[in-house]
Amino acid sequence: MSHTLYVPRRPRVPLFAVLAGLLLSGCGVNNIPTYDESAKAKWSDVQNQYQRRADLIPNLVETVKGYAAQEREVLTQVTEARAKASQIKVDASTVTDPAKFKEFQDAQNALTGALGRLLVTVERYPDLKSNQNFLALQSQLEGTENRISVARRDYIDSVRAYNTELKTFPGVLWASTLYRSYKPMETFTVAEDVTKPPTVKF
Amino acid sequence: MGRLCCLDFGRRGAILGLLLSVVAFAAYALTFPELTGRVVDDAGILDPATKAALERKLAEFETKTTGQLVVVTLKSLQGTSIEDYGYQLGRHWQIGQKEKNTGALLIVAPNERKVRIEVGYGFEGTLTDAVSKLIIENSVIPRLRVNDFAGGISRGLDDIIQAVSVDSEDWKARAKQRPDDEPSLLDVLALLFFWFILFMVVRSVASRGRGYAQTGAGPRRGSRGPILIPIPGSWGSSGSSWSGGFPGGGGFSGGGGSFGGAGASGSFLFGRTDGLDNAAAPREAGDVMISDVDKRRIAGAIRAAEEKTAGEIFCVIAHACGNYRLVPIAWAALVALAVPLPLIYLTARPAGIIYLLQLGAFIVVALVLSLPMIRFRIVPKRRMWGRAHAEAMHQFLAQGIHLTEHRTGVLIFASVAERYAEIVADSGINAKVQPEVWSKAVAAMISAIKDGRPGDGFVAAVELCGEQLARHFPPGALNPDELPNKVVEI
Repeated sequence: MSHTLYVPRRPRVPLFAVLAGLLLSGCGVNNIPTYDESAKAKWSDVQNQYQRRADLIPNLVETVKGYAAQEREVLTQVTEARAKASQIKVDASTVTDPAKFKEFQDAQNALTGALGRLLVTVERYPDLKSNQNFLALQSQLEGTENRISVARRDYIDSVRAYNTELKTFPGVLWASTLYRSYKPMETFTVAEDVTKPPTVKF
Repeated sequence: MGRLCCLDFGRRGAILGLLLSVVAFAAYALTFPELTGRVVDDAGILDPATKAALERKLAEFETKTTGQLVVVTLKSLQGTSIEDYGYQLGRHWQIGQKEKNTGALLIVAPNERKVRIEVGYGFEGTLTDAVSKLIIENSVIPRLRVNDFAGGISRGLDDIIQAVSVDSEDWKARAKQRPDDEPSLLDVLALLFFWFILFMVVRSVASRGRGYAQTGAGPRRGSRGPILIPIPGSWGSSGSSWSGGFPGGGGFSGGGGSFGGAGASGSFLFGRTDGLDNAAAPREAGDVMISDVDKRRIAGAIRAAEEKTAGEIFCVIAHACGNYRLVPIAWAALVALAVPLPLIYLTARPAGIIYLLQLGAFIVVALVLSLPMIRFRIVPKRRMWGRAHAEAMHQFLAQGIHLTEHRTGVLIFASVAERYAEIVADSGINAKVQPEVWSKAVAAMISAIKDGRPGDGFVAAVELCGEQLARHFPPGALNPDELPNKVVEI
């Protein structure tokens, strides 16, 4: 009898460890790093899409110049806004640094604004509007703006999940013990998120 | 987003934030129609026949490629934009293969009068924003504007399929399924002769002793007189020349290797075909090949022509319809047969050497004539054109041109190596058009191709055929695009 009690006791230590591990992961010990990685991935997607937009601009500016060189002011604004947005050094740490994040967002917003003005100006040049190259660029720009808004939305969602995990139980326990270096991330503010790319109407 | 506002704006902000979060909630709590099939007609704007036709087309596309396309019409966008709804719907339904993300949605919201092509990550390279925009603007919107939903959707879908299958190898693969070359009498003779020579070589190598005995007979014939045939080197004794000059089997196996080289020229043609998808390749391939720009122009011409008719036009350009590998061998055999004659009567060479010369002549001539540059020049015209014609007929069936509803398919076919062009018209249209008209189109095409402008040639032929089709088969109410508007290269 005593033997039968004794024998199963030996594997109990590793079993306990496994159980504890399961319990801990059930308590979300992995949640914070998981959400962190997911948010960072979404952030790099946001950066990619903004970069894609920046890459389109020189071509767009050149094309518009060919037809509407007198619109120097708005063209310069776009070029400058692009230069400014490209100058800002962006990396993974940007998302946890409110000042840097705001700088990034402001620069991109300025570029969005300048591009919007450029596209309004262009309406006055029917030749340009029927230029194949311009039409292709314009549709790419529209597509990219749409991609940016989707990427931003995905980023906002995953940051919301991450920040919530940091502040709620049981994540808050892990955040204050194991994961002290994990800081809440910034998200885009609503104002710009409401702006939508122009849509196709029929 | 609502949460942030609450923190920032205090009480009034809290109300604003609440409102915003309601908006946000609405945006995230969209309801999606059920994915019941490849065509989800939630708005109920498609008649059953159109729906079935679209389903068929989509199913065919799916079996042929790794992509997945879905057409969806929406009762309502639920207050959000079509861009927003579109990508969420795509994610919700998970259209496209998991690893590749090659899915796309054609979304029509008739009540909001919006239309969108939602493209999965995997198709972003082929179905670019610019292409999608062109499809929407040129193919879809003009029809939707007059409430021709069925027409707009099927046309848009055709264009999408065309755009995403530019890269796909399926069309080419289908074109490649041709029956094996049926050897003609000439081929069989050449082959027999080849095997005969091989047999003789093996035998003579195996029994060198007898070779000596035969060479012994040489000088007796040679006694007829002095010979002035310029053969380098001196042939002092027949025995030494035999073993030294041509190390028997080794020499032949070297020839065999090069013969394999002729096979490689066939695969060179292959390589050219495949390489044409790269932008740089057409320039290397020379003036006769068709560039991507030309391809697009031809596709545009086909689309324009088909706008005005219920008929269908399809273009195939072939590098070569056959490899004619046996033709050089037949020529070489003829030459080789003639070689011993002067040698026997004019020289005193031993039979063994004459035989080796014959063999050498055969191999050299066969190899030289096998070079692709020369090979296509020595094939009899009638044979080449017969082969090309057979290929054209085969393509007509292989590409399904005979499957149009009113038998109005027209195949415009050109083969570069054979310098052959042909227009194959299905019975429906052929019954109404004079043969001269077709000849005129072929002549226009040939003259342009001769000038090294195959693109112009095809465009001219497409336009001429389009005119005929438009005259006899005006577009019906639906005008479905039954065949892809593209040039297939084989």
